[in-house]
Amino acid sequence: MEIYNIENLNFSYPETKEKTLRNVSLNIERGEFVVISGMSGCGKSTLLRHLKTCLQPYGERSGSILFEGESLENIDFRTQTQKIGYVMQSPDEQSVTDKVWRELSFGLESLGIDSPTIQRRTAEISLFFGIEKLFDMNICELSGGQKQIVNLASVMIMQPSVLILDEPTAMLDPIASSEFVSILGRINRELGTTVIMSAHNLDDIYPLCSRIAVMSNGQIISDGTPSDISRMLYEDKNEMFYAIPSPVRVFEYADSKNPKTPLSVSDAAKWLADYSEKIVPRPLPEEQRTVRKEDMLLELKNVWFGYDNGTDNIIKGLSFKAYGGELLAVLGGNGAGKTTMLSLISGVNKPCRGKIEVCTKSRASQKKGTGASIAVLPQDPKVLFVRDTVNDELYEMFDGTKTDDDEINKRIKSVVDLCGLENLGNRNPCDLSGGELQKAALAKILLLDPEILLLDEPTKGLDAYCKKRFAAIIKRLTDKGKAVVMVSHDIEFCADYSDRCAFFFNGQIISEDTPKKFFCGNKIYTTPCRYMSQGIIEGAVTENDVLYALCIEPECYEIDDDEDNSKTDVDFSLPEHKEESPKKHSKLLKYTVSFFSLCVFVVSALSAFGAVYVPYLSENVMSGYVLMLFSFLAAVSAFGRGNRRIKIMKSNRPFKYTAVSLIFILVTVPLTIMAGILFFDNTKYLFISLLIMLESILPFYIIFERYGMKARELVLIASMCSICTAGRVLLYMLPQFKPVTALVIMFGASFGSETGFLVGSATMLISNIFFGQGPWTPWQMTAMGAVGLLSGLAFERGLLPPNKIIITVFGFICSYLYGAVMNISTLMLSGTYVNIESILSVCAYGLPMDTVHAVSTALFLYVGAEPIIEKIERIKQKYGLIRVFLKKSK
Amino acid sequence: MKSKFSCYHPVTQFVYFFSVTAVTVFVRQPVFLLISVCVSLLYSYRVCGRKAFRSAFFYMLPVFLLITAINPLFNHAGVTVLAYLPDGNPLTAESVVYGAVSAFMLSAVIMWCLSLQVIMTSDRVIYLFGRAAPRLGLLISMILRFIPRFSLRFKQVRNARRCIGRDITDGNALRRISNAAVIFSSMIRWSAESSIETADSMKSRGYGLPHRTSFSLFRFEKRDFFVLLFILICDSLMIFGGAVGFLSFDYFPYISNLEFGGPYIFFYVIYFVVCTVPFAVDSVR
Repeated sequence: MEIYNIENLNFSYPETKEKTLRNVSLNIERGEFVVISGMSGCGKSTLLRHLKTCLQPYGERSGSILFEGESLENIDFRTQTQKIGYVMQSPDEQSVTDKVWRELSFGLESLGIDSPTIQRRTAEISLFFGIEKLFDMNICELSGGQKQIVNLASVMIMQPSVLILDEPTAMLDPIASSEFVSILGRINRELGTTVIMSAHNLDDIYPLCSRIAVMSNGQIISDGTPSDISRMLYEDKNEMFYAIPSPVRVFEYADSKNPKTPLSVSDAAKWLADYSEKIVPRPLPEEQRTVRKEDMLLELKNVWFGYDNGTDNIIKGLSFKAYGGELLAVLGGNGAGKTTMLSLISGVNKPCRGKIEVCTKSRASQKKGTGASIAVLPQDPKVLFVRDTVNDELYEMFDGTKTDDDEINKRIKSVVDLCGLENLGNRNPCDLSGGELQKAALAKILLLDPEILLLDEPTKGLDAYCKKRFAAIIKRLTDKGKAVVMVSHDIEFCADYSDRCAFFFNGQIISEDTPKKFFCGNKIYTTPCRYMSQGIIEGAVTENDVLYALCIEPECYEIDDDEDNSKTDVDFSLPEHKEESPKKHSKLLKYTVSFFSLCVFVVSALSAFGAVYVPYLSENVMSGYVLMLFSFLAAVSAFGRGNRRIKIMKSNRPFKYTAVSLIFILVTVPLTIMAGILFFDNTKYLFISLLIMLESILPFYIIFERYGMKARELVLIASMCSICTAGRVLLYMLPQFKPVTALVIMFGASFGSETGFLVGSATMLISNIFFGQGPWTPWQMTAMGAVGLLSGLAFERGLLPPNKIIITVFGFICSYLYGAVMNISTLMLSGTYVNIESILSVCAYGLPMDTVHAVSTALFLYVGAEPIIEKIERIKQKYGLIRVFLKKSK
Repeated sequence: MKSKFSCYHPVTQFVYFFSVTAVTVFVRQPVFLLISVCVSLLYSYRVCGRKAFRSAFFYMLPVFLLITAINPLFNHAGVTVLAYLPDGNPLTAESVVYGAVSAFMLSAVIMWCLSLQVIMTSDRVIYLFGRAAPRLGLLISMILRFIPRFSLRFKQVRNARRCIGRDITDGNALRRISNAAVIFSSMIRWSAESSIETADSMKSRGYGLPHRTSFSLFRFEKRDFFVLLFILICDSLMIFGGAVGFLSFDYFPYISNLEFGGPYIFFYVIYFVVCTVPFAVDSVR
């Protein structure tokens, strides 16, 4: 019986002319294991997303999709949730909750299943996947492979009839990836679940799957059993041929008439043994690559390192040398400390013992910051990107340096040429594919003009085509005499392209040699071609070696180097600085007015506190305060005038909920205070203040709880709270010098008052889990929530003009208010006598800390408000968050 | 040292902590306060260990002194005048005593919170919130999931920025703050981006369907039932005592006498027994 029946599916994203899917027709039988393969950007993910309604992208669509004989759109959300399991690419991003068991039960909870059943099913599924030991753990403690298995388990727990996986192994290392794939095989065989999976690398799945569909440019170009597919791709000379496991490729080159395609390495070895009886393999030539001994750039001498002051060592007596002009590949298992090694070389961590010598020529002449002799390409290249276009990213490297424009343009031009970024200049780094990202990141760090380049798993998640291009760029760099040290899991890439391989194990380098000798020396940790040819062809490591021995010239369909040059070249030039200089006289006016009102403010303040005598003011204290307030506001608004307004889009979320909660608060709080004065004779401060806080917190949380929130908004609130909390935990410079208040203000300004309140109060609640809950938690929640609320009312609702100065002053005042509330809370909690003097004295006690807090908030807002709020606004626009509004759940 | 009480059901634990702190806060009677201070000190020392205990103590000391000082300075009620303040207001013995009592009360509450912090793990917090407000429970759980992820990401970004000389520790003060702002803005972008896949994963697993249930690993056992019942009975006795007036104590205008008659002793014992429930639980078998 057919489980999916896709006919003539066409799809295009909005604002693109080209169709992402073109006439896709595919029938999938029950119990099949189908792999959809293709280069990145061929439309695999788009196709898979069409198989579940709630994940379908927006755009123009035609054609039909039938699920179990019924049109997919007519099947309700509940049934789809249960029957169609969907696992995504990133192990980290798809897990939602903090604990493994909670993650497992998430789907069943949504389906409304009762606790005993959930308990039984979680037990069953943990046994099946062998994750009983992980059951009680935090998800953040797991390795990437384990996370992905948990993600799979938490989908399989709903007992779906079809399992869809979108490149589930792209982010995993080879060992975790093959383990994951073997579990998929078990699910397919033992549970009879239909599996549909996309992948750009077929190494592990090739022997397991029952069918492969290859996509290119939004079309399915071939579809059949694995052995048919390898034949078809070979005959079509398709570039996807490189995605097929190398032993199979060798087989196709050598013996393409033979119908019995070897699916696994052991089959391939058998085939090669038979084949080599017919054709005696010729001996391989001596390896040309030799270790260069001159031009040493980097030397590590007996380096030891461990976190926690070197008690638990990760690096144990590591020594090696890197030479200019070579690519040194460091191979090793997961968690062996390879990334830590890179952090030592780059200077992020300092070794506990031993020496790291960098012998570059420019070392002495260069100062820190402007250009380093060492550059690192991090594992996730995205961490390097902070701007909105690739072009800006490159120019960002020269921010704050005194390089002249011609020099900058020249250097950028040269890296752009080197890395082939000609078409990417105006693209947003977030929208780039894996390969493009890697190139852009490489270009960015190359602007440091390093002599030593450290690469952390650069080929992770890249398809065969991108790897080839990346290798070509690295080759160009080593030809220029740079030393490249690469840490990798990718055995075949290292065998093909490196000049020297080193085996990293247990904190040190166990062996190092040229790739050929290295992989011949290893029996188990070696390339598939070496496995296959062991004992038959001596010294063959790569596919080309085996082919050479068998006297076959592989028809190279070299991928042309200039990738889609059809697009117009983007001119890389300095971004123009548009600075609107306000007219001179208005500037003069602005400063005069602000100076004058500031003077008035100072005088009235001094007189209000009785420091100087001013004829009228000193007699009328109230008018003194009023004058103080007005002059202050006048000073601020005069100074703030002419500053650029930050554009904040109003959400179209109805204001009525906020209005209702505000009215509720405005009515109940004074009533409570009155009741307190009437009935308790104004003595039960604590009780009344707790009541007031409850009254101000509750309406917002009731709205949050009662009216359904879209998943995206909930995730966004959660991530904002975590950023704030992380800011509170991580940026520990001075006790009160934390950007929390500033962040809450910015989030409130951008997302509105309700979200501001939620973020502020939840941040305080959660961060106290780390800092220690205390009796002050409810006060902190209310006060920080109020800060977010006020900021939302002021800026998102447009009561105040959102410009840098106004926001800074707002933040300054808000932090003092927050401090005042917290100081008063001490008074309330202890139940001491409350009057103006005691309030003032606790505030005076807290004043130094509050001042630090206010100054830090103001500074952070002054520097960060504009760029950060503008960034949030762009994000709102891009991800359609502006359309999010509360929807009443049934 | 690990307390056996930490394995009890969150509801039982919550009711326990609520009862003991509520009495501490609302009944400002010296004997109750003494019991509360002593037991909370002992228990927090027991569950938190010496180090946490010490740091809490040094944090508390200035607040303690502040409260002790503020009350007599600004509260001039009371009949026993000890001296006159420079502004001419009287310094009374009652307000000095009341200040000290308030400070002790606050420290007892902080001590209770210290042990609450250790016993109420995040799982239990989520459970308690999740009962009343499932969506808030989910939100807390999600935040706890994101924090380690963000911290890791934050470190990665910082390392990457440090390698190109743009970390929080590079440059002058203004430069540092602007570097920090850049790092935060890149964190915000990254989180918005990754939230898309998280949200998709939630939708794909049925988030938004009506009638969501809430699963937890906590089981309400017999022992929880008995302990909870015991605490609740004692609580109701205390409430009764409060209503009748056995718990009231006045500081102003003059300090009432401490009563040690039969019914008073009864309530002291009851409160002591409630406070020491965790010790009793630990000593069983």
